Amino acid sequence: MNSAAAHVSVEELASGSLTTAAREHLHVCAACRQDAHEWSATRDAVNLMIAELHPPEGMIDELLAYADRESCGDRGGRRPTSRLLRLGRERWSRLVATVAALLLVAGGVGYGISARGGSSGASAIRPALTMMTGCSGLESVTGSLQGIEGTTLLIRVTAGRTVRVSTGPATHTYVQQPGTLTSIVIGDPVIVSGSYSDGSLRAADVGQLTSAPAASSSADAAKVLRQGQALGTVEDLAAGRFTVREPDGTRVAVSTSTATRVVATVPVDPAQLQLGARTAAVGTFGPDGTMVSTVLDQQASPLRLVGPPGAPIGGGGGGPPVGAQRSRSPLAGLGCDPATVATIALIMPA
Amino acid sequence: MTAPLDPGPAGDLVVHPAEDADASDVGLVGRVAAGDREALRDLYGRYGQMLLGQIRFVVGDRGLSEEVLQDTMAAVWRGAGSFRGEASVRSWLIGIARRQARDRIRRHRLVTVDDAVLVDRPGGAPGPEQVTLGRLEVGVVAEVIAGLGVAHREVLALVCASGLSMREVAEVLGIPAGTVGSRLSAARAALRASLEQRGYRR
Repeated sequence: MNSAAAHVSVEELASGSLTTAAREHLHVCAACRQDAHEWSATRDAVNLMIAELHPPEGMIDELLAYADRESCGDRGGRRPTSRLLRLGRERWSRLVATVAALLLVAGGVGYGISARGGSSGASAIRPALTMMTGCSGLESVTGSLQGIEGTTLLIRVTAGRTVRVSTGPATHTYVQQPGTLTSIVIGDPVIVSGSYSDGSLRAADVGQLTSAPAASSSADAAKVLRQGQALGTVEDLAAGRFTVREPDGTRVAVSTSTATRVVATVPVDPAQLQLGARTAAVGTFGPDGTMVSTVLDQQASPLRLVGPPGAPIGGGGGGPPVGAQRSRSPLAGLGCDPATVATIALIMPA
Repeated sequence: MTAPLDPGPAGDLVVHPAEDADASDVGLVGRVAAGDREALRDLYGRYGQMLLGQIRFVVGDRGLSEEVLQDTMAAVWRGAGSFRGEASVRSWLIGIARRQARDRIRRHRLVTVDDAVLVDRPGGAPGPEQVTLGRLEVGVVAEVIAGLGVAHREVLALVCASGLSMREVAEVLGIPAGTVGSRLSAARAALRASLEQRGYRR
Protein backbone atom coordinates (compact mmCIF):
# COMPACT_ATOMS: atom_id res chain seq x y z
CA MET A 1 0.00 0.00 0.00
CA ASN A 2 2.77 2.41 0.92
CA SER A 3 5.99 2.56 2.73
CA ALA A 4 4.31 2.25 6.07
CA ALA A 5 3.17 -1.22 5.18
CA ALA A 6 6.75 -2.30 5.24
CA HIS A 7 7.02 -1.11 8.81
CA VAL A 8 3.78 -2.32 10.29
CA SER A 9 1.84 -5.03 8.55
CA VAL A 10 -1.42 -4.09 6.94
CA GLU A 11 -3.08 -6.89 8.86
CA GLU A 12 -2.04 -5.30 12.13
CA LEU A 13 -3.10 -1.86 11.03
CA ALA A 14 -6.44 -3.04 9.71
CA SER A 15 -7.36 -5.14 12.69
CA GLY A 16 -5.94 -2.70 15.21
CA SER A 17 -4.23 -5.56 16.96
CA LEU A 18 -0.77 -4.11 17.16
CA THR A 19 2.16 -5.93 18.62
CA THR A 20 4.34 -4.14 21.12
CA ALA A 21 7.00 -3.72 18.44
CA ALA A 22 4.49 -2.19 16.09
CA ARG A 23 3.31 0.26 18.73
CA GLU A 24 6.83 1.33 19.41
CA HIS A 25 7.42 1.74 15.71
CA LEU A 26 4.50 4.11 15.40
CA HIS A 27 6.30 6.54 17.70
CA VAL A 28 9.07 6.99 15.20
CA CYS A 29 7.23 6.58 11.90
CA ALA A 30 4.94 9.43 10.88
CA ALA A 31 3.76 7.61 7.77
CA CYS A 32 2.83 4.62 9.86
CA ARG A 33 0.90 6.80 12.30
CA GLN A 34 -0.99 8.31 9.38
CA ASP A 35 -1.78 4.84 8.10
CA ALA A 36 -2.86 3.70 11.53
CA HIS A 37 -5.13 6.71 11.81
CA GLU A 38 -6.75 5.99 8.49
CA TRP A 39 -7.29 2.37 9.37
CA SER A 40 -8.77 3.44 12.68
CA ALA A 41 -11.27 5.62 10.83
CA THR A 42 -12.04 2.70 8.53
CA ARG A 43 -12.64 0.36 11.45
CA ASP A 44 -14.86 2.92 13.12
CA ALA A 45 -16.85 3.30 9.93
CA VAL A 46 -17.29 -0.44 9.48
CA ASN A 47 -18.36 -0.90 13.07
CA LEU A 48 -20.70 2.06 12.85
CA MET A 49 -22.35 0.57 9.79
CA ILE A 50 -22.85 -2.73 11.56
CA ALA A 51 -24.01 -1.14 14.79
CA GLU A 52 -26.84 0.49 12.91
CA LEU A 53 -28.16 -2.87 11.76
CA HIS A 54 -30.72 -4.67 13.82
CA PRO A 55 -31.59 -8.31 13.24
CA PRO A 56 -35.35 -8.66 12.87
CA GLU A 57 -37.14 -9.72 16.01
CA GLY A 58 -39.26 -12.79 15.69
CA MET A 59 -37.23 -14.23 12.85
CA ILE A 60 -36.34 -17.37 14.79
CA ASP A 61 -39.92 -17.95 15.88
CA GLU A 62 -41.12 -17.74 12.31
CA LEU A 63 -38.29 -19.96 11.19
CA LEU A 64 -39.14 -22.61 13.75
CA ALA A 65 -42.83 -22.40 12.93
CA TYR A 66 -41.98 -23.01 9.32
CA ALA A 67 -39.76 -25.92 10.27
CA ASP A 68 -42.65 -27.37 12.27
CA ARG A 69 -44.96 -27.14 9.31
CA GLU A 70 -42.38 -28.81 7.14
CA SER A 71 -41.85 -31.61 9.60
CA CYS A 72 -45.60 -32.18 9.62
CA GLY A 73 -45.49 -32.67 5.90
CA ASP A 74 -47.04 -29.34 5.13
CA ARG A 75 -44.78 -28.05 2.45
CA GLY A 76 -47.33 -25.77 0.94
CA GLY A 77 -46.84 -23.04 3.47
CA ARG A 78 -45.12 -19.87 2.63
CA ARG A 79 -41.60 -19.68 3.77
CA PRO A 80 -41.21 -16.83 6.19
CA THR A 81 -39.17 -13.87 5.20
CA SER A 82 -37.56 -11.44 7.47
CA ARG A 83 -39.01 -8.57 5.54
CA LEU A 84 -42.47 -9.80 6.25
CA LEU A 85 -41.56 -10.16 9.85
CA ARG A 86 -40.49 -6.58 9.87
CA LEU A 87 -43.97 -5.58 8.91
CA GLY A 88 -45.06 -6.71 12.32
CA ARG A 89 -47.33 -9.49 13.29
CA GLU A 90 -50.40 -7.35 13.60
CA ARG A 91 -49.94 -5.80 10.23
CA TRP A 92 -49.16 -9.08 8.59
CA SER A 93 -52.16 -10.75 10.16
CA ARG A 94 -54.38 -7.94 9.06
CA LEU A 95 -53.04 -8.10 5.56
CA VAL A 96 -53.53 -11.80 5.30
CA ALA A 97 -56.91 -11.78 6.96
CA THR A 98 -58.37 -9.03 4.92
CA VAL A 99 -57.24 -9.61 1.42
CA ALA A 100 -54.59 -12.13 0.67
CA ALA A 101 -56.34 -15.02 2.35
CA LEU A 102 -59.49 -14.25 0.51
CA LEU A 103 -57.83 -14.04 -2.80
CA LEU A 104 -55.77 -17.15 -2.31
CA VAL A 105 -58.87 -19.27 -2.54
CA ALA A 106 -61.16 -17.05 -4.48
CA GLY A 107 -61.82 -17.76 -8.06
CA GLY A 108 -58.42 -19.17 -8.71
CA VAL A 109 -56.88 -15.77 -8.48
CA GLY A 110 -54.30 -17.00 -6.03
CA TYR A 111 -52.67 -13.97 -4.56
CA GLY A 112 -49.76 -14.45 -2.28
CA ILE A 113 -46.73 -12.70 -1.09
CA SER A 114 -43.55 -13.60 -2.85
CA ALA A 115 -41.56 -15.18 -0.12
CA ARG A 116 -38.28 -14.96 -1.88
CA GLY A 117 -37.05 -14.11 -5.26
CA GLY A 118 -36.53 -16.71 -7.85
CA SER A 119 -37.46 -19.68 -5.74
CA SER A 120 -38.87 -21.29 -8.80
CA GLY A 121 -35.69 -20.83 -10.67
CA ALA A 122 -36.76 -17.72 -12.48
CA SER A 123 -33.86 -15.71 -13.70
CA ALA A 124 -35.07 -12.51 -12.15
CA ILE A 125 -35.30 -11.86 -8.48
CA ARG A 126 -38.70 -10.74 -7.36
CA PRO A 127 -38.72 -8.23 -4.58
CA ALA A 128 -40.45 -9.27 -1.43
CA LEU A 129 -44.00 -8.06 -1.21
CA THR A 130 -44.41 -8.71 -4.87
CA MET A 131 -47.85 -10.14 -5.30
CA MET A 132 -48.08 -13.20 -7.42
CA THR A 133 -51.49 -12.98 -8.92
CA GLY A 134 -51.76 -16.52 -10.10
CA CYS A 135 -52.26 -15.15 -13.57
CA SER A 136 -49.58 -16.10 -16.01
CA GLY A 137 -47.12 -13.29 -16.52
CA LEU A 138 -48.81 -10.96 -14.10
CA GLU A 139 -47.21 -9.66 -10.95
CA SER A 140 -47.70 -6.57 -8.88
CA VAL A 141 -45.69 -4.31 -6.66
CA THR A 142 -47.10 -1.58 -4.49
CA GLY A 143 -45.36 1.23 -2.72
CA SER A 144 -44.47 4.86 -2.73
CA LEU A 145 -43.46 6.48 -5.99
CA GLN A 146 -39.97 7.72 -5.28
CA GLY A 147 -38.78 8.95 -8.61
CA ILE A 148 -39.25 9.05 -12.34
CA GLU A 149 -36.23 8.60 -14.57
CA GLY A 150 -37.43 9.06 -18.11
CA THR A 151 -39.82 6.21 -18.71
CA THR A 152 -38.75 4.34 -15.60
CA LEU A 153 -40.42 4.69 -12.23
CA LEU A 154 -38.83 3.95 -8.90
CA ILE A 155 -41.37 2.48 -6.52
CA ARG A 156 -40.36 1.91 -2.95
CA VAL A 157 -42.25 -1.08 -1.73
CA THR A 158 -43.47 -1.30 1.81
CA ALA A 159 -40.46 -3.19 2.95
CA GLY A 160 -38.16 -0.36 2.00
CA ARG A 161 -36.93 -1.85 -1.24
CA THR A 162 -37.06 0.17 -4.40
CA VAL A 163 -38.15 -1.50 -7.61
CA ARG A 164 -37.61 -0.17 -11.11
CA VAL A 165 -40.71 -0.16 -13.27
CA SER A 166 -40.48 0.57 -16.94
CA THR A 167 -43.37 2.08 -18.83
CA GLY A 168 -44.18 2.12 -22.51
CA PRO A 169 -46.92 2.77 -25.00
CA ALA A 170 -48.80 -0.28 -23.76
CA THR A 171 -48.84 0.93 -20.18
CA HIS A 172 -52.20 2.12 -18.90
CA THR A 173 -51.98 4.65 -16.13
CA TYR A 174 -54.77 5.37 -13.66
CA VAL A 175 -55.33 7.40 -10.56
CA GLN A 176 -57.81 6.58 -7.84
CA GLN A 177 -59.39 9.87 -6.93
CA PRO A 178 -62.53 11.10 -5.20
CA GLY A 179 -65.68 10.63 -7.23
CA THR A 180 -69.36 11.26 -6.70
CA LEU A 181 -72.38 9.03 -6.40
CA THR A 182 -73.87 10.73 -9.40
CA SER A 183 -70.99 9.50 -11.52
CA ILE A 184 -72.04 5.89 -10.97
CA VAL A 185 -74.06 4.50 -13.84
CA ILE A 186 -75.64 1.15 -14.62
CA GLY A 187 -73.07 -1.33 -15.77
CA ASP A 188 -70.21 0.22 -13.83
CA PRO A 189 -67.86 -2.34 -12.31
CA VAL A 190 -67.58 -1.50 -8.62
CA ILE A 191 -66.34 -2.78 -5.33
CA VAL A 192 -68.44 -1.80 -2.33
CA SER A 193 -67.34 -1.86 1.25
CA GLY A 194 -69.63 -1.29 4.19
CA SER A 195 -71.90 -3.07 6.64
CA TYR A 196 -75.23 -4.81 6.41
CA SER A 197 -78.23 -3.00 7.76
CA ASP A 198 -81.91 -3.57 7.12
CA GLY A 199 -81.24 -6.14 4.46
CA SER A 200 -78.84 -4.17 2.37
CA LEU A 201 -75.18 -3.37 2.25
CA ARG A 202 -74.82 0.15 3.59
CA ALA A 203 -71.94 1.49 1.56
CA ALA A 204 -69.11 3.24 3.30
CA ASP A 205 -66.90 3.17 0.22
CA VAL A 206 -67.67 2.56 -3.41
CA GLY A 207 -64.74 2.03 -5.71
CA GLN A 208 -65.29 2.34 -9.42
CA LEU A 209 -63.17 -0.17 -11.28
CA THR A 210 -61.96 -0.06 -14.84
CA SER A 211 -63.44 -3.37 -15.92
CA ALA A 212 -65.99 -5.88 -14.77
CA PRO A 213 -64.79 -8.81 -12.72
CA ALA A 214 -64.70 -12.12 -14.50
CA ALA A 215 -66.95 -15.01 -13.63
CA SER A 216 -65.40 -17.66 -11.48
CA SER A 217 -66.01 -21.34 -11.24
CA SER A 218 -64.01 -21.97 -8.10
CA ALA A 219 -65.91 -23.97 -5.52
CA ASP A 220 -63.32 -22.98 -2.96
CA ALA A 221 -64.58 -19.47 -3.08
CA ALA A 222 -67.55 -20.55 -1.01
CA LYS A 223 -65.18 -20.98 1.91
CA VAL A 224 -64.40 -17.34 2.01
CA LEU A 225 -67.83 -15.86 2.28
CA ARG A 226 -67.19 -12.43 3.60
CA GLN A 227 -69.68 -9.87 4.60
CA GLY A 228 -69.34 -6.19 4.20
CA GLN A 229 -68.13 -6.23 0.63
CA ALA A 230 -69.54 -6.67 -2.80
CA LEU A 231 -67.83 -6.81 -6.15
CA GLY A 232 -69.63 -6.74 -9.43
CA THR A 233 -71.51 -4.50 -11.79
CA VAL A 234 -74.13 -1.90 -10.98
CA GLU A 235 -77.78 -2.64 -11.70
CA ASP A 236 -81.08 -1.06 -10.74
CA LEU A 237 -79.64 2.30 -9.98
CA ALA A 238 -81.84 4.72 -8.07
CA ALA A 239 -81.43 7.57 -5.61
CA GLY A 240 -79.79 6.26 -2.47
CA ARG A 241 -79.48 2.70 -3.67
CA PHE A 242 -78.31 0.35 -6.36
CA THR A 243 -77.74 -3.33 -6.82
CA VAL A 244 -74.45 -5.05 -7.38
CA ARG A 245 -74.59 -8.16 -9.52
CA GLU A 246 -71.64 -10.33 -8.61
CA PRO A 247 -69.88 -12.66 -11.04
CA ASP A 248 -71.79 -15.70 -9.75
CA GLY A 249 -75.12 -13.97 -10.28
CA THR A 250 -75.68 -13.00 -6.68
CA ARG A 251 -77.42 -9.66 -6.43
CA VAL A 252 -76.55 -7.49 -3.46
CA ALA A 253 -78.69 -4.50 -2.54
CA VAL A 254 -76.57 -1.50 -1.68
CA SER A 255 -77.73 1.65 0.06
CA THR A 256 -75.82 4.88 -0.10
CA SER A 257 -75.87 8.07 1.86
CA THR A 258 -74.11 11.38 2.02
CA ALA A 259 -71.46 9.63 4.08
CA THR A 260 -70.66 7.22 1.27
CA ARG A 261 -67.30 7.89 -0.29
CA VAL A 262 -66.78 7.23 -3.94
CA VAL A 263 -63.37 6.53 -5.36
CA ALA A 264 -63.08 6.59 -9.10
CA THR A 265 -60.32 4.97 -11.11
CA VAL A 266 -59.63 7.34 -13.95
CA PRO A 267 -57.04 7.18 -16.72
CA VAL A 268 -54.30 9.78 -16.60
CA ASP A 269 -51.08 10.58 -18.35
CA PRO A 270 -48.03 9.08 -16.59
CA ALA A 271 -46.69 12.59 -16.16
CA GLN A 272 -49.56 13.28 -13.80
CA LEU A 273 -48.38 10.72 -11.27
CA GLN A 274 -47.38 12.30 -7.99
CA LEU A 275 -44.12 11.56 -6.24
CA GLY A 276 -44.63 10.11 -2.80
CA ALA A 277 -48.09 8.76 -3.52
CA ARG A 278 -48.94 5.12 -3.05
CA THR A 279 -48.62 3.46 -6.41
CA ALA A 280 -49.22 -0.02 -7.76
CA ALA A 281 -47.60 -1.45 -10.84
CA VAL A 282 -48.78 -4.60 -12.55
CA GLY A 283 -46.78 -6.34 -15.20
CA THR A 284 -43.99 -8.83 -15.60
CA PHE A 285 -40.42 -8.86 -14.42
CA GLY A 286 -37.77 -8.85 -17.09
CA PRO A 287 -34.52 -10.77 -16.80
CA ASP A 288 -32.80 -7.75 -15.29
CA GLY A 289 -35.43 -7.52 -12.57
CA THR A 290 -37.11 -4.43 -13.92
CA MET A 291 -40.86 -4.72 -14.05
CA VAL A 292 -42.30 -4.05 -17.49
CA SER A 293 -45.60 -2.53 -16.53
CA THR A 294 -48.98 -3.06 -18.08
CA VAL A 295 -50.86 -0.92 -15.60
CA LEU A 296 -49.90 1.79 -13.16
CA ASP A 297 -52.40 2.88 -10.58
CA GLN A 298 -51.92 5.59 -8.03
CA GLN A 299 -53.94 6.33 -4.97
CA ALA A 300 -54.92 9.94 -4.58
CA SER A 301 -57.83 9.05 -2.33
CA PRO A 302 -57.52 5.88 -0.28
CA LEU A 303 -60.31 3.40 -0.78
CA ARG A 304 -61.03 1.24 2.22
CA LEU A 305 -61.58 -2.33 1.23
CA VAL A 306 -62.91 -3.68 4.47
CA GLY A 307 -65.93 -2.59 6.35
CA PRO A 308 -66.02 -1.36 9.91
CA PRO A 309 -63.48 -2.91 12.27
CA GLY A 310 -64.53 -6.33 13.37
CA ALA A 311 -66.69 -7.01 10.38
CA PRO A 312 -67.24 -10.74 10.52
CA ILE A 313 -65.88 -13.18 8.06
CA GLY A 314 -67.96 -16.15 7.10
CA GLY A 315 -71.24 -15.55 8.88
CA GLY A 316 -72.61 -14.10 12.07
CA GLY A 317 -73.41 -10.59 13.09
CA GLY A 318 -75.66 -8.70 10.75
CA GLY A 319 -75.56 -11.25 7.99
CA PRO A 320 -76.33 -10.77 4.37
CA PRO A 321 -79.84 -9.92 3.34
CA VAL A 322 -82.42 -12.66 3.31
CA GLY A 323 -82.53 -14.26 -0.07
CA ALA A 324 -79.09 -13.06 -0.91
CA GLN A 325 -77.01 -15.76 0.73
CA ARG A 326 -73.90 -15.58 -1.32
CA SER A 327 -72.18 -18.73 -2.32
CA ARG A 328 -68.77 -17.23 -2.73
CA SER A 329 -66.59 -14.33 -1.85
CA PRO A 330 -67.44 -11.05 -3.41
CA LEU A 331 -63.87 -11.10 -4.55
CA ALA A 332 -64.33 -14.37 -6.35
CA GLY A 333 -63.75 -14.09 -10.03
CA LEU A 334 -61.49 -11.15 -9.81
CA GLY A 335 -59.80 -12.61 -12.81
CA CYS A 336 -56.62 -11.44 -14.41
CA ASP A 337 -57.53 -7.96 -15.47
CA PRO A 338 -54.36 -5.98 -14.73
CA ALA A 339 -56.21 -2.79 -13.87
CA THR A 340 -58.41 -4.54 -11.34
CA VAL A 341 -55.40 -6.28 -9.88
CA ALA A 342 -53.70 -2.90 -9.52
CA THR A 343 -56.75 -1.40 -7.86
CA ILE A 344 -56.96 -4.21 -5.36
CA ALA A 345 -53.24 -4.01 -4.76
CA LEU A 346 -53.62 -0.39 -3.79
CA ILE A 347 -56.47 -1.19 -1.48
CA MET A 348 -54.43 -3.72 0.43
CA PRO A 349 -53.26 -2.31 3.75
CA ALA A 350 -49.89 -0.63 3.54
CA MET B 1 -10.68 -16.95 19.83
CA THR B 2 -7.54 -18.92 19.57
CA ALA B 3 -5.61 -17.35 22.41
CA PRO B 4 -3.25 -19.75 24.08
CA LEU B 5 -3.84 -20.98 27.56
CA ASP B 6 -1.70 -19.04 29.97
CA PRO B 7 -0.14 -20.62 32.99
CA GLY B 8 -1.48 -18.96 36.12
CA PRO B 9 0.53 -17.91 39.14
CA ALA B 10 0.33 -21.35 40.63
CA GLY B 11 0.90 -23.07 37.39
CA ASP B 12 -2.80 -23.61 36.83
CA LEU B 13 -4.20 -22.91 33.46
CA VAL B 14 -6.06 -19.63 33.17
CA VAL B 15 -8.71 -19.69 30.53
CA HIS B 16 -9.17 -16.45 28.65
CA PRO B 17 -12.66 -14.99 28.60
CA ALA B 18 -12.71 -15.58 24.87
CA GLU B 19 -12.24 -19.23 25.50
CA ASP B 20 -15.08 -19.18 27.97
CA ALA B 21 -17.20 -17.73 25.21
CA ASP B 22 -15.97 -20.39 22.83
CA ALA B 23 -16.89 -23.14 25.21
CA SER B 24 -20.27 -21.56 25.75
CA ASP B 25 -20.78 -21.22 22.02
CA VAL B 26 -19.89 -24.83 21.39
CA GLY B 27 -22.37 -25.88 24.03
CA LEU B 28 -24.98 -23.71 22.43
CA VAL B 29 -24.45 -25.27 19.03
CA GLY B 30 -24.64 -28.69 20.60
CA ARG B 31 -27.99 -27.82 22.09
CA VAL B 32 -29.17 -26.50 18.73
CA ALA B 33 -28.12 -29.79 17.18
CA ALA B 34 -30.26 -31.53 19.78
CA GLY B 35 -33.25 -29.47 18.74
CA ASP B 36 -33.16 -26.91 21.54
CA ARG B 37 -35.09 -23.91 20.24
CA GLU B 38 -34.00 -21.61 23.01
CA ALA B 39 -30.41 -22.35 22.08
CA LEU B 40 -31.09 -21.22 18.54
CA ARG B 41 -32.64 -18.03 19.88
CA ASP B 42 -29.64 -17.50 22.13
CA LEU B 43 -27.28 -18.01 19.23
CA TYR B 44 -29.26 -15.53 17.17
CA GLY B 45 -29.23 -13.05 20.01
CA ARG B 46 -25.52 -13.45 20.43
CA TYR B 47 -24.46 -13.35 16.80
CA GLY B 48 -27.42 -12.03 14.83
CA GLN B 49 -26.19 -8.49 14.51
CA MET B 50 -22.64 -9.46 13.69
CA LEU B 51 -23.84 -11.90 11.05
CA LEU B 52 -26.25 -9.37 9.61
CA GLY B 53 -23.37 -6.93 9.35
CA GLN B 54 -21.12 -9.40 7.60
CA ILE B 55 -23.90 -10.34 5.20
CA ARG B 56 -24.77 -6.72 4.53
CA PHE B 57 -21.21 -6.02 3.54
CA VAL B 58 -21.39 -8.81 0.99
CA VAL B 59 -24.83 -8.37 -0.55
CA GLY B 60 -25.15 -4.64 -0.01
CA ASP B 61 -28.91 -4.59 0.14
CA ARG B 62 -30.68 -4.25 3.46
CA GLY B 63 -33.71 -6.40 2.76
CA LEU B 64 -31.76 -9.09 1.02
CA SER B 65 -29.32 -9.16 3.92
CA GLU B 66 -32.11 -10.06 6.28
CA GLU B 67 -33.27 -12.81 3.97
CA VAL B 68 -29.76 -14.21 3.84
CA LEU B 69 -29.54 -13.99 7.62
CA GLN B 70 -32.70 -16.04 7.80
CA ASP B 71 -31.27 -18.56 5.38
CA THR B 72 -28.17 -18.68 7.53
CA MET B 73 -30.10 -19.39 10.71
CA ALA B 74 -32.14 -22.02 8.89
CA ALA B 75 -28.90 -23.66 7.78
CA VAL B 76 -27.63 -23.54 11.36
CA TRP B 77 -30.83 -25.15 12.62
CA ARG B 78 -30.56 -27.90 10.06
CA GLY B 79 -26.82 -28.35 10.15
CA ALA B 80 -25.73 -27.77 13.74
CA GLY B 81 -25.04 -31.46 14.04
CA SER B 82 -22.29 -31.15 11.48
CA PHE B 83 -20.32 -28.72 13.62
CA ARG B 84 -17.15 -30.53 14.62
CA GLY B 85 -15.43 -27.82 16.59
CA GLU B 86 -12.56 -27.58 14.16
CA ALA B 87 -13.21 -23.87 13.85
CA SER B 88 -14.67 -21.46 16.35
CA VAL B 89 -18.43 -21.13 16.36
CA ARG B 90 -18.06 -17.53 15.26
CA SER B 91 -15.97 -18.55 12.28
CA TRP B 92 -18.34 -21.41 11.46
CA LEU B 93 -21.34 -19.09 11.51
CA ILE B 94 -19.65 -16.48 9.37
CA GLY B 95 -18.64 -19.17 6.91
CA ILE B 96 -22.24 -20.29 6.59
CA ALA B 97 -23.45 -16.72 6.22
CA ARG B 98 -20.86 -15.99 3.58
CA ARG B 99 -21.81 -19.06 1.57
CA GLN B 100 -25.44 -18.12 1.75
CA ALA B 101 -24.69 -14.57 0.69
CA ARG B 102 -22.41 -15.58 -2.13
CA ASP B 103 -24.87 -18.17 -3.30
CA ARG B 104 -27.59 -15.56 -3.36
CA ILE B 105 -25.45 -13.22 -5.37
CA ARG B 106 -24.58 -15.98 -7.80
CA ARG B 107 -28.14 -17.06 -8.31
CA HIS B 108 -29.58 -13.63 -8.71
CA ARG B 109 -28.22 -10.51 -10.05
CA LEU B 110 -29.15 -7.85 -7.57
CA VAL B 111 -31.70 -5.80 -9.35
CA THR B 112 -33.34 -3.66 -6.76
CA VAL B 113 -31.98 -0.44 -5.44
CA ASP B 114 -31.67 -0.08 -1.74
CA ASP B 115 -33.07 3.03 -0.16
CA ALA B 116 -29.80 3.86 1.44
CA VAL B 117 -28.09 3.68 -1.91
CA LEU B 118 -30.53 6.15 -3.36
CA VAL B 119 -30.11 8.48 -0.45
CA ASP B 120 -26.40 8.17 -0.30
CA ARG B 121 -25.71 8.18 -3.98
CA PRO B 122 -23.03 10.83 -4.50
CA GLY B 123 -24.29 13.89 -6.22
CA GLY B 124 -22.43 16.04 -8.67
CA ALA B 125 -21.37 18.54 -6.07
CA PRO B 126 -17.71 18.57 -5.14
CA GLY B 127 -16.72 16.97 -1.87
CA PRO B 128 -15.16 18.74 1.07
CA GLU B 129 -12.27 20.83 -0.10
CA GLN B 130 -8.82 19.68 0.73
CA VAL B 131 -9.79 17.74 3.78
CA THR B 132 -6.98 15.49 4.76
CA LEU B 133 -7.41 11.79 5.15
CA GLY B 134 -6.17 12.22 8.66
CA ARG B 135 -9.34 14.08 9.55
CA LEU B 136 -11.75 11.71 7.99
CA GLU B 137 -15.28 11.72 9.16
CA VAL B 138 -16.55 8.27 9.96
CA GLY B 139 -19.79 8.89 8.16
CA VAL B 140 -18.01 9.80 4.98
CA VAL B 141 -15.85 6.72 5.17
CA ALA B 142 -18.92 4.60 5.71
CA GLU B 143 -20.51 6.04 2.61
CA VAL B 144 -17.45 5.30 0.56
CA ILE B 145 -17.10 1.79 1.93
CA ALA B 146 -20.67 1.07 0.89
CA GLY B 147 -19.67 1.90 -2.66
CA LEU B 148 -16.69 -0.44 -2.82
CA GLY B 149 -16.71 -3.78 -4.57
CA VAL B 150 -17.96 -6.87 -2.80
CA ALA B 151 -14.52 -8.40 -2.27
CA HIS B 152 -13.22 -5.20 -0.71
CA ARG B 153 -16.24 -4.69 1.52
CA GLU B 154 -16.10 -8.28 2.60
CA VAL B 155 -12.49 -8.29 3.70
CA LEU B 156 -12.93 -5.01 5.53
CA ALA B 157 -15.92 -6.34 7.44
CA LEU B 158 -14.15 -9.55 8.31
CA VAL B 159 -10.94 -7.94 9.47
CA CYS B 160 -12.42 -4.89 11.15
CA ALA B 161 -15.59 -6.20 12.73
CA SER B 162 -15.93 -9.97 12.82
CA GLY B 163 -13.70 -10.73 15.75
CA LEU B 164 -11.91 -13.37 13.73
CA SER B 165 -8.16 -13.83 13.70
CA MET B 166 -6.31 -13.34 10.43
CA ARG B 167 -5.98 -17.08 10.08
CA GLU B 168 -9.71 -17.47 10.51
CA VAL B 169 -10.39 -14.68 8.05
CA ALA B 170 -8.23 -16.49 5.52
CA GLU B 171 -10.10 -19.73 6.16
CA VAL B 172 -13.47 -18.08 5.77
CA LEU B 173 -12.40 -16.44 2.55
CA GLY B 174 -10.71 -19.61 1.35
CA ILE B 175 -7.48 -17.83 0.53
CA PRO B 176 -3.91 -18.08 1.83
CA ALA B 177 -3.24 -16.01 4.92
CA GLY B 178 -0.81 -13.82 3.02
CA THR B 179 -3.46 -12.96 0.48
CA VAL B 180 -5.61 -11.37 3.17
CA GLY B 181 -3.03 -8.62 3.48
CA SER B 182 -2.91 -7.94 -0.23
CA ARG B 183 -6.69 -7.89 -0.40
CA LEU B 184 -6.77 -5.47 2.50
CA SER B 185 -4.27 -3.26 0.74
CA ALA B 186 -6.37 -3.30 -2.40
CA ALA B 187 -9.47 -2.42 -0.41
CA ARG B 188 -7.66 0.42 1.27
CA ALA B 189 -6.39 1.71 -2.07
CA ALA B 190 -9.91 1.64 -3.49
CA LEU B 191 -11.21 3.40 -0.41
CA ARG B 192 -8.56 6.05 -0.67
CA ALA B 193 -9.19 6.59 -4.38
CA SER B 194 -12.88 7.08 -3.72
CA LEU B 195 -12.17 9.51 -0.92
CA GLU B 196 -9.80 11.47 -3.10
CA GLN B 197 -12.49 11.69 -5.75
CA ARG B 198 -14.60 13.38 -3.11
CA GLY B 199 -11.93 15.92 -2.45
CA TYR B 200 -10.11 14.29 0.39
CA ARG B 201 -6.39 14.06 0.03
CA ARG B 202 -3.66 12.52 1.97
